[in-house]
Amino acid sequence: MPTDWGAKKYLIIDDFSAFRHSVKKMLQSFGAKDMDDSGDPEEAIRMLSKKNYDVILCDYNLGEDRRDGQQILEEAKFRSIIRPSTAYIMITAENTMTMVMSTLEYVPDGYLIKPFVPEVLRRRLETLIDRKKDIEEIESAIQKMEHLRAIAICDELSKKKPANILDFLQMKANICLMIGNYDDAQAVYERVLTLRNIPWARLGLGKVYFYRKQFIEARDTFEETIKESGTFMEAYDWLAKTMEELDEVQKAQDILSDAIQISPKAILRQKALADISYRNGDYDTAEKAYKKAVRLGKHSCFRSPTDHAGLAKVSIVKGLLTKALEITRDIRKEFGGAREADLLASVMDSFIHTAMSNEPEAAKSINDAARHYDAMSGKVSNDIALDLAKGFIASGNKEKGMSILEGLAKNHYEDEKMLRKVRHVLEETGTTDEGEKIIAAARQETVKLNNQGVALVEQGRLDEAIEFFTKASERLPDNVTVNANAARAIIIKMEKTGRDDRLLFRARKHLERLKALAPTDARYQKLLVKYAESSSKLTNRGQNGTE
Amino acid sequence: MERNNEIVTFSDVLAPAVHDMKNSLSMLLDTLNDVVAELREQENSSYKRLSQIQYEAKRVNHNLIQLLTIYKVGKGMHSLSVSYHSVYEMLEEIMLVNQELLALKGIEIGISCPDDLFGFFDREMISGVLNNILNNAFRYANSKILLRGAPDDGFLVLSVEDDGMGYPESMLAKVEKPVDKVSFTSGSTGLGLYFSSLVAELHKNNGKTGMIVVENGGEYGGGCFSIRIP
Repeated sequence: MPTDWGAKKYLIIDDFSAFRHSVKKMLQSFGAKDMDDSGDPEEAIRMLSKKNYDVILCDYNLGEDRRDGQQILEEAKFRSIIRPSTAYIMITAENTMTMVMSTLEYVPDGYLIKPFVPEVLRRRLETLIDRKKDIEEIESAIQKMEHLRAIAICDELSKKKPANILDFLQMKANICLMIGNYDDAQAVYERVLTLRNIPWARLGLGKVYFYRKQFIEARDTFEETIKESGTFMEAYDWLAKTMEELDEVQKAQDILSDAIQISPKAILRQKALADISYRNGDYDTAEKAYKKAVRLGKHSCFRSPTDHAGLAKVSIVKGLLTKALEITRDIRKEFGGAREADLLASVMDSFIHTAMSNEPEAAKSINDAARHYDAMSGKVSNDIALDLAKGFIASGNKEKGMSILEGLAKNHYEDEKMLRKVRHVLEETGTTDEGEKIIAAARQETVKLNNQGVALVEQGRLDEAIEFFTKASERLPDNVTVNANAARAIIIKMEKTGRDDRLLFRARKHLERLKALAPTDARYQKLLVKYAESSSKLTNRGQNGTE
Repeated sequence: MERNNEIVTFSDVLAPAVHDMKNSLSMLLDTLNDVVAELREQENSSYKRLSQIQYEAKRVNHNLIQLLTIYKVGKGMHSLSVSYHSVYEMLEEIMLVNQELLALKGIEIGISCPDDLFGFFDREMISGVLNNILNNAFRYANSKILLRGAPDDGFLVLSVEDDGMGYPESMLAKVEKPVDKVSFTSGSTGLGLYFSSLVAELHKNNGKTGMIVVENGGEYGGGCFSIRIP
């Protein structure tokens, strides 16, 4: 189908106005009408959030000390201000940067190397717009949690458009991973690998092993990927994760260090390196990486006060307490009074004053933190909650500290990693005995709660069960089992009584929460399949009804 | 302060400098494209002289891209991005980029390639090689250039053939194992061939490695450059 140039909206981002002008002229000659342009990254992001563009042409390099094209893409995708159908083309001055850049979800749809002539732009855009149309169909099915339909579309398109078969196979395998169908994912990756040694297929195979907890095989596969394709950065991240699972923490740190040599601008990787070196007691490396994360954060949607806090913690360990106080001042200044940042700064202040043996100041700081915490009704990220609990206990307010830890234990009673972190705080504050009792009680109480609800389901008292789990999930929003049970009760109810839009919506809310909490949890993945099956059945019934 | 002990090598300075030059050149080429197009519309014949500048600027651009790539590959900062591509589509794009300039010298460019031929390769890198060879062919061809794509015994073969005098004896010999034998002191073509064979050798599959072939003959009896991708 010919491209309808006049019906699409275009945004051109480049710091050279002459270049923007020349691209606009090219687009105009194809028939484009609705074109905007900007030379300023911040302005461009504002424009993106206000208008739905179909095509974005963005230069990678937008000048010193400003966001680059990759950071704009990350911001736009992270905040979901561009649609999955938007074609994002990165314009670069050289041909060697493609692979070094980012993880799959933040990869641009295409690259164009400067300078280019109009005909090349026209062809690249035509192909891309056509491809995006197919991808949009698949992505929108995924967004509606209709994963089985998404897979069916991939299969159909693979047959219909053999030229793009690799795209569709890659997407299919990815969806199979999402719903825990590791066998099918593996089959796709292996099929691709018989055709050609493609890095993403090798990486995918490693992921299959990882999710099946075959960590040795995963390690070997990721290592092979890196050996063959040394700038495929995602492979380093996965290898480091695998090494951590194998308790090879120093190796995990070394791998991330290697990766950062190749792509120093990746902020999330800097953070990961900082955190793991801090845990490993390598404070020099941690300090360097936190500093870099802070600096990169200036222009990134992944900016977070926890990086500054990490730097403050390193300074405390090193005994540089005045410097640590400077950092907490910076947190307050840089985040302009954002509650979570202020809360974190106050917690850090209390640590610093405790280290200075200045108890009155430490108590004052932790009271400030408590005020922020209450104002946020306790809705803070887990890592901040852990620090806060530690601060409370260390400064004498044991009750409040323990109740935060209890909340974490109840929400995450099945998550060994989180429980390890809770236990670490208990150790640091010398409250292990008391804390272990609280953890055990939290587990017991939550198990009992879930059993009660499941009993209602088994007795067929579905409405009651739904209400029961809904209430429970309001109290324990991060509890995987509660959310899974809530979604399951709703789906069973719909299987019995038929389509109900309100119930569908509620089931999806729980599934979305599960996706954020435990995307690889087998119960969640099974529910996804069940949801997809029942929602397609229900839709069919609805369609028959209208005939 | 940490920087005092670091020894800054020539190539460390070269990379950002090349990058900067490329940016300027990009601007220059964009403006030049616009001006040439305008003058043509006005049927002002001085566009032909500007086209010569355009050609030289493009040459510099190709050279800079090659330098940067060689540098990054050498430092382990770049690896191939192999995907599945339509060969015809790529050749057609290369033709479109070059045909205007070639037409000025009265050179006609054509394609011989089945339109259902697909292959696994790094499109930007291979395009870079072929564009560069075409840029040279502009100098040496009389009136015809052919871009050819064809499968051959497990390899995908992409060729640029012309009807010129052909490659000199010295180069034909040199190409047998170009990466070892290229001498940067002997001539201006060293960089292009070095780059081409580097890109070729980065393409590996099933124990086979890519290679370049420089010979005389082909469809038009002139120079014939081929890159063989496994």
